[in-house]
Amino acid sequence: MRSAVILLAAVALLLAPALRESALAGQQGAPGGGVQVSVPDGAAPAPQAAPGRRGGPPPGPPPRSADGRALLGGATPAIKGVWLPGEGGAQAAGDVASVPLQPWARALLANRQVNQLEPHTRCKPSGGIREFLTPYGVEFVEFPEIQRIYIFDIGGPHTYRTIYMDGRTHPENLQASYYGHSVGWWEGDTLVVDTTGFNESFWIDRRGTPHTDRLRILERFTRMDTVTMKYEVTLDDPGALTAPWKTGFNLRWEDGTELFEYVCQQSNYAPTLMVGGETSIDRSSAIVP
Amino acid sequence: MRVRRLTRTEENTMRAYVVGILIAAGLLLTGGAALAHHSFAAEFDAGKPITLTGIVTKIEWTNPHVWFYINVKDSATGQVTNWGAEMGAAHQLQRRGWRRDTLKIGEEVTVEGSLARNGTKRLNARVVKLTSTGGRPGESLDAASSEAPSQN
Amino acid sequence: MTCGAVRALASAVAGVLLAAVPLTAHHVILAKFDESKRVTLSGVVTLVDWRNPHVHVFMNAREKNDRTVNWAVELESPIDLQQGGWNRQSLRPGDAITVEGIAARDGSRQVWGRSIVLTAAGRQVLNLTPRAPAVPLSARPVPRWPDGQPRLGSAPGGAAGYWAYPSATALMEDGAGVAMDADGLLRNVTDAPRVAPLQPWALALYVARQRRVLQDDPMYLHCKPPGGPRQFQLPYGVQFLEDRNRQRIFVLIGSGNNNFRIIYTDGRGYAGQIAGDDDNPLYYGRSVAKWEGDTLVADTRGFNEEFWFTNGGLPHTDRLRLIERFSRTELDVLKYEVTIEDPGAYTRRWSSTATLRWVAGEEMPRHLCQDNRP
Repeated sequence: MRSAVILLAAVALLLAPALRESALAGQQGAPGGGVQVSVPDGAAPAPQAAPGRRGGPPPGPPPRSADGRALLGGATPAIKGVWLPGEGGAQAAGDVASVPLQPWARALLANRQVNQLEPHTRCKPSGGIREFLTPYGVEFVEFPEIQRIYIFDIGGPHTYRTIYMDGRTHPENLQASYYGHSVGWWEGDTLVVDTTGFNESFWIDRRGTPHTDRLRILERFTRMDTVTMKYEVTLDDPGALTAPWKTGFNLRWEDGTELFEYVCQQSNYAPTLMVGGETSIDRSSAIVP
Repeated sequence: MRVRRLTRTEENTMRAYVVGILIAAGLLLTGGAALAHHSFAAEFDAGKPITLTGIVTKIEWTNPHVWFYINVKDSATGQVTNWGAEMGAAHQLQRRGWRRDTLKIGEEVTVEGSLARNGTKRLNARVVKLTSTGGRPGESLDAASSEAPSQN
Repeated sequence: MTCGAVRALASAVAGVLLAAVPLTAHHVILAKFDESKRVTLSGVVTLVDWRNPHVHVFMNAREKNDRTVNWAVELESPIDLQQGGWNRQSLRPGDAITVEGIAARDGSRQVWGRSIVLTAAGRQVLNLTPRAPAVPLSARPVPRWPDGQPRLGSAPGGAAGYWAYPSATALMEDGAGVAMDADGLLRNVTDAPRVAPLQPWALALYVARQRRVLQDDPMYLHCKPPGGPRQFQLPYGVQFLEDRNRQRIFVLIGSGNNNFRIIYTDGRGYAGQIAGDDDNPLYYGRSVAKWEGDTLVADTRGFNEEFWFTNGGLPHTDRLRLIERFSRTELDVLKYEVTIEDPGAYTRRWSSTATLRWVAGEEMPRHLCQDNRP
């Protein structure tokens, strides 16, 4: 049985076209506003350079709240924007060879380069690093009154991630989900988020690094300047990794953009791979590649 | 009925078995996949560049990819074939000078891009030149192709 | 998952891939199953598939000729079953069960399971009893912001909560009094003209959708979003997050694809951002609202036509404009009045009213239509 499986995998690899490394188009985004020391509620916005994606004045220090902590969004309500992958992001997060994968996971990763059936393109929500690797952008919105931070995703299935900031811990019988269960706290200017309870129905990054439901992620988000958020992440998965894997990249601010409607299912053809349709797969098939 | 814990070897064997199923499933499923929202490389061949000129018959200004279709006339035989061209997402195109009404049915355009792998009359568009009417004759627009994925 | 289960899955997979049978995907129950075809099955569980939108229990049942065949028993969603106290371990491969249900219209070996009795325990499992929150003995005061405006969410420091248990799950003009089920299926199709002031073409389309038992519903077939009033008709509720700093209200939708949409309260116009969704017609439209006393009045336009805006399949066009009035009359009750203006499909404006109940102390469920699709 095992040899048949290995044979199948070998055949798959042989039949596959070579994977093209796509060029990165990662320019630095245009800088946002001027320096803000505090966020006056409802007061006039600070003077700022005209927003644009290219050119403009160099980035300034990070905007801060009234109590001095760096903000995850605009300095004032008038400054709008979303976060896109910046330097080091794009296709992969880090060099493949450096990821401490177990042998079965390395084989699966190789297969995924070939079959390219990423769940994200089939409108599945994708947690982990993948959430920050779309060309659409995300917004972090703080709701201090209910002690939560939400991350709203424009792309993918146009949904959101909840980060509980009220000091709670992960519950005992966590139902596995696409985004997991996130608890967060501040360490100075860094938002630290501990997430576990992932299901296995998505890819945690664009190239398909495998994971299991034992994955636990520690993320550190640090607003470095008006246009840069440093994203550091440590993945701990005794089911797929031989050791914790530390990686990261920068998010870049796209000034002026607001959350807009994007619906992945609008014209996503290939009914054999997508939902329902004239040739939908019988419900007794539970394949989720 | 309690299920005993699997040993590491059994677990790995099972994972290998599951992986085998998935590979088999993947092979069988990709067989018929026509217009899935795939990566560029899985669906189109950058080694087969193609340029077509034709009359726009349909425009689908939708996500995740905008598509438009053109009737292309073979100059030798006079036969007309309908081709489909995939572009980027709506918001990417809008940032590159497109609006939803930039293309009009009945206009002539020239499309440069990469041919589909599976032999169908489809291509992934890189550049579209608005040849005749539409208020911007002669203008070439970037089609936000997923071949060189942009960060916005 | 045991190795035995993996092998069972593998055979199921092989069977399906070799004989791809086209079947309707997610649906209104009666679109897929025939109420008059009652079935009783006895046998052994082989697999429990615990995923949205429906949990399936696969079983080997013995037929009259002593052949053993595998059947799929369809149940409610994992969210519903979990709320009822069940989980993915409630039934295990190897359990002996007896199932009563109604069979699939197309003759395939699928039943909608109305009752599953676990033989060993002699009692029903994976069943649900309807549970709406108890009505409070007296109206509790509406939580408010410091400036007096009613809160649409929890009080600060209060327990989590969301809005659900709509009093009406399909649109019907106020006062029409037409009999229909929870999915908006008319008891008598001849009542169709009384549901709303439909133009002739729209009435014909509505009747056609009804006659086909709503099996063409894009929300079920293709996971299209529940734009318009529909988002307030669905079982998993909505949550409002008021981002006063940015003058916008996020509406989180528990059903469908667990989307979010935004209602702006900054008095903006209806032009979109070119860098964003431009002036493209949207599933959720563009929504701008203001407070009139204690009522939030939202004016939404710019819908596309690629979805059904209510359970039951009443048509709309891209000329649809909704005026929605949200009034939290007491802590536990949100009144929702919607006025429909669509000169493309209706002969005049018309209105429909419903209420939602506050569900305190719980997180809103997050249903993902994509969950059990390939």
